Amino acid sequence: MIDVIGIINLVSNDYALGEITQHRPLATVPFGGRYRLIDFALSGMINSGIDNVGVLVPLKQRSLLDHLRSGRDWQLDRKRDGLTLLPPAYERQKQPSLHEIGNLHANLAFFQKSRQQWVMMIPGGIVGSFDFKPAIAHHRASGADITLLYSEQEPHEYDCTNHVGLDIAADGRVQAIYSRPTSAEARNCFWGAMICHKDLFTSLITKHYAGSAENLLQALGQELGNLCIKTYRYPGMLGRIHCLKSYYRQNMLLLNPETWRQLFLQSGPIRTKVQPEHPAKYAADAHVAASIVAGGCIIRGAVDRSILFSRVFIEQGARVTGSILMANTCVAKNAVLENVICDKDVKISAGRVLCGQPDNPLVIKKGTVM
Amino acid sequence: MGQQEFIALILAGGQGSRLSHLTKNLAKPAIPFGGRYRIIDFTLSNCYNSQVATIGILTQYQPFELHSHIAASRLYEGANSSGGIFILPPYTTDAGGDWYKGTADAVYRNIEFIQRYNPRYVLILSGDHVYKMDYRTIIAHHKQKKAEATIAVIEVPWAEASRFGVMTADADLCIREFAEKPAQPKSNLASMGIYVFNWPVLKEFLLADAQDLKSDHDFGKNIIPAMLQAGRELYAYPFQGYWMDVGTIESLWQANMDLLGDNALFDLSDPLWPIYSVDPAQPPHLVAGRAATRQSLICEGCQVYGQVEHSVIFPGVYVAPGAMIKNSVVMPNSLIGANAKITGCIIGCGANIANDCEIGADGGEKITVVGEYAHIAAGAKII
Repeated sequence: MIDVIGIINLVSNDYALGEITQHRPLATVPFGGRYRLIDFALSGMINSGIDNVGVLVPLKQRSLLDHLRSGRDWQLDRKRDGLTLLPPAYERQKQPSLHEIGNLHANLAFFQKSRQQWVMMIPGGIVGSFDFKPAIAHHRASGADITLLYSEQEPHEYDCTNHVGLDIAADGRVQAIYSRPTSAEARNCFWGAMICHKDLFTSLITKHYAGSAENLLQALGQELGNLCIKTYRYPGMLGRIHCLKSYYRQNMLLLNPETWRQLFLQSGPIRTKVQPEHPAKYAADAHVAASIVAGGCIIRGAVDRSILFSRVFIEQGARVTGSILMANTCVAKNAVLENVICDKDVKISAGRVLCGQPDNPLVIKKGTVM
Repeated sequence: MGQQEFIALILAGGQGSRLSHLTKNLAKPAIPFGGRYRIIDFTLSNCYNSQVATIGILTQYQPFELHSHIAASRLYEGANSSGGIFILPPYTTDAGGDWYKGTADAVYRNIEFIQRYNPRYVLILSGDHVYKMDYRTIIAHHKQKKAEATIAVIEVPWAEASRFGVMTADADLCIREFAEKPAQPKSNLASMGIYVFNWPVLKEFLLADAQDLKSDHDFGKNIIPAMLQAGRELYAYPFQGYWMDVGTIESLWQANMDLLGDNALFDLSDPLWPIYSVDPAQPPHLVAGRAATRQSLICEGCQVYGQVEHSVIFPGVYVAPGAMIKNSVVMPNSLIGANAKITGCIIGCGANIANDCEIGADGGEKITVVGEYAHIAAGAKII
């Protein structure tokens, strides 16, 4: 238990993953065989000793509320602290706020009544086995007003938009924030995580709610001259998901046993909503290689380099390669899937052949019968 | 206090001495089973799926893991006057106290608990059986027969009948005779150790049995024969379906094997009768590029680099490259080293089998058991 309020900021590009995010926010996009993206941020909070966690709820919230419920699956249903949902602002004659400042302003009461002194805010679309304790200790020792967490990115990671670059001076102070960086500017990638004192945080929200900043990033840019904003280089594995390509690639990375171990066995468990599943069942003619398989699956066919979520059925003679099959996908006899992402409840009928490209996977919409 | 139509009591205090190494530190109902379950999960899930509101669980032998499993399963919210799950260990009072001396004594000592709910019927269950039963049907049968006690029975092969409590019933299923493990069985209807009693009748016989110094205070040996002798209305409830008393190493292994195959004898995947357990909070398992997994159940958190054939692999098991597991049960967090051969075994929780070991044999009559947290040195042969 540490003296920190955790905020998970789910206000983001709501259509980042096309059809996959048509009916759900980025936060509840299924990932890695049994998780939703928000599980990594939430588990990171718990595993870092932060147990007063507020979640900034986006406008599309049905699947989020269904997933989180009381927070019990993350051990956040507590008599004191635990999970608090922070819904978007409602104001008469005004559109609901689409950015986090309005949302945070509507929920200032949460900060006022929390007894912790510090605020750690992280985004929802990140994958990793997080331990934020060193970052928090670094912030408190550095004397900075605000600490932004960044990762050093390899150039091939720049192929997607939504990167934010930081220009960091020798003394660690942020000199500039680039919201549409060139590849040189994007080297120090700010991934939306920040730490500051609660009083400063609430006064910034109050100030910029009345000001011209359209989002928190712009507000931080405006404060660069006024406040001491420093950085902390996050050393661990960090997957950022902001488009279909990054989603597919981050999933496929898990098929590497080293990455699988790093993500799941490093800093405590990744928790998620618990459902009763029977153990995965392999039939006599199952051929499975280089794949990850969740509970409740029944496999009679061939599966290679793929991720099977809960209760996926692969019939005899079916071949699945390089694909992500979300919960309840059924692949009938002799069907062939290559580089396909099946959203939940998809049925592929016997003999169908569906192919996408490794750099452009084919997405089958939730509930489709093909 | 209001009345509930029936409550369930689960007898879960048994040691399971015939399971040797496996029950050294835990009660028989807490033995891991079927990949992600413990044996008591089947009875508990039956209760939940049958909408039993109040469950008392009588525990005694090595109860720590059993208690924490029941708490963590969170099957029922709360435990109060309207029901829930209650753990009922032996206890002392100002008049002293003692261990439970038998199954009937355990229930006798909790008469006050049962009285709180003032039920019309009491369902007595065992915590170490693997089966699926809707208890509402046995209660309905009991009511329809206007029975005072109903005993669930299952047909067993005649050759095995002498291992069970055997019932002789007439065409109307009215029980005429009952023999506990008879040398010359007159019937092949075996008692499953599942009883429905009218509570006032059971209470009367429990009170009498408690006064009998010669009694073993056992349902099968004492209460049922006493009721028959007194001419009470006892009926059989014939059960159709899979049922296994997991009391020996062989039956524990066999019941695990019965979960495998396309037409498994016991199906864990029925969406209408889910079996609940405690989620191991582990990631989906990883099957590596050169692994082979067939006719098996594999759970969360496993890393499989070798071969798994016709086996049940519990959560968090590591199967190294070149290892070969066949016809075996591998309990949670065990490590099977490179090129190890495991055949016809039960490997206990957290066991560490080093590289190149050879354990068990195919077609062997006996199942080889490696105890929990055992370390088997590299290259060892245990056949």
